[in-house]
Amino acid sequence: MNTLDFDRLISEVVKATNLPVPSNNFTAKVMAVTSPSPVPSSDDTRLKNYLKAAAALLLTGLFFMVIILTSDIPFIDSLYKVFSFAVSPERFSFSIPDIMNFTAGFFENSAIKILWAGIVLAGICLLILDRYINKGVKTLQSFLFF
Amino acid sequence: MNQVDDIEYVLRILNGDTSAYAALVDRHKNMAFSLALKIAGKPEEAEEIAMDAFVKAFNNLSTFRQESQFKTWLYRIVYNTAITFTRKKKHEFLALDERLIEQYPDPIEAINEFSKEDQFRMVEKAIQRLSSEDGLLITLFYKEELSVDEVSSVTGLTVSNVKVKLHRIRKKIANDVETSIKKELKEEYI
Repeated sequence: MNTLDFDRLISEVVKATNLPVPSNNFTAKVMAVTSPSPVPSSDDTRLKNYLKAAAALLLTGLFFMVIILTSDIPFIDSLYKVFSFAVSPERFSFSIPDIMNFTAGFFENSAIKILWAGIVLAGICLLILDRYINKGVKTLQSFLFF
Repeated sequence: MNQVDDIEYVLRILNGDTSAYAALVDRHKNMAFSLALKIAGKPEEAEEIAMDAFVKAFNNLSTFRQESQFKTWLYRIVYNTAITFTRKKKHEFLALDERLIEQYPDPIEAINEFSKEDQFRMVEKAIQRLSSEDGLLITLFYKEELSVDEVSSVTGLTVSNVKVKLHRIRKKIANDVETSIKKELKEEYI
């Protein structure tokens, strides 16, 4: 008997083997749980998923803001300075060069550079982890970044 | 044929006829239960896992993209639910290197000396002795006739790993059958 015939024999045996069966009222039990609730439409589900992900991102951002601003970190003073510089009325501007200057100044501070590097690195790690865990699942992150 | 029917049922359910789900449950419950049993090991737990998987599938039916067969999608849910339930590591299957495929001789010339019933019996016993993970793979591949790609999608293994594992399972069965033949011939000789 060659490999192909042997493979065919295995296939025949597996097909002839009866599968174990669940209890007689299995279908009724499943239907009892599922029947009262209509299937949510794909639009509802997608919107709900995006809202959930957005809420999670917002809460995470707030959490880190509270932690950073209430901690006794040596460079927190310089962080406050940058923020007060940003929101002081005389500096407040929507013009693109001003925003770019502000952003550049923000990154020039070495203490803040480390903080930003940490945040960006953590973000990248989280995105990679998310892609690995949710292969094929549409999340807000995958919608925004990939 | 089944594939078309499954999708028709899915469309009916999505259009509000939720009672059509009973037909899908009836059609796939044995395989779902069997897969859950191979991972969980206990029938009571397997039933709970299969039920949970069917409920999850119903609640997420709108996310089912009809690019794959419904059953492949469902079995993936059963597999993930069972793994979560039993708190086993997701990739319990060890990854294998495709280059490690060992050549084995055309199996068992001696098996031709036996009747079809005896051949069946020997292969059946060898299959029963396989580990539950191996049993799960051959059930999906031979019984459900899923392609290697689909088995890969259900179990999370790479396609080449599925190929290597199926090859090794065939080899295990061939070795087991060969041992049985030797034993039977020895007994006959004595």
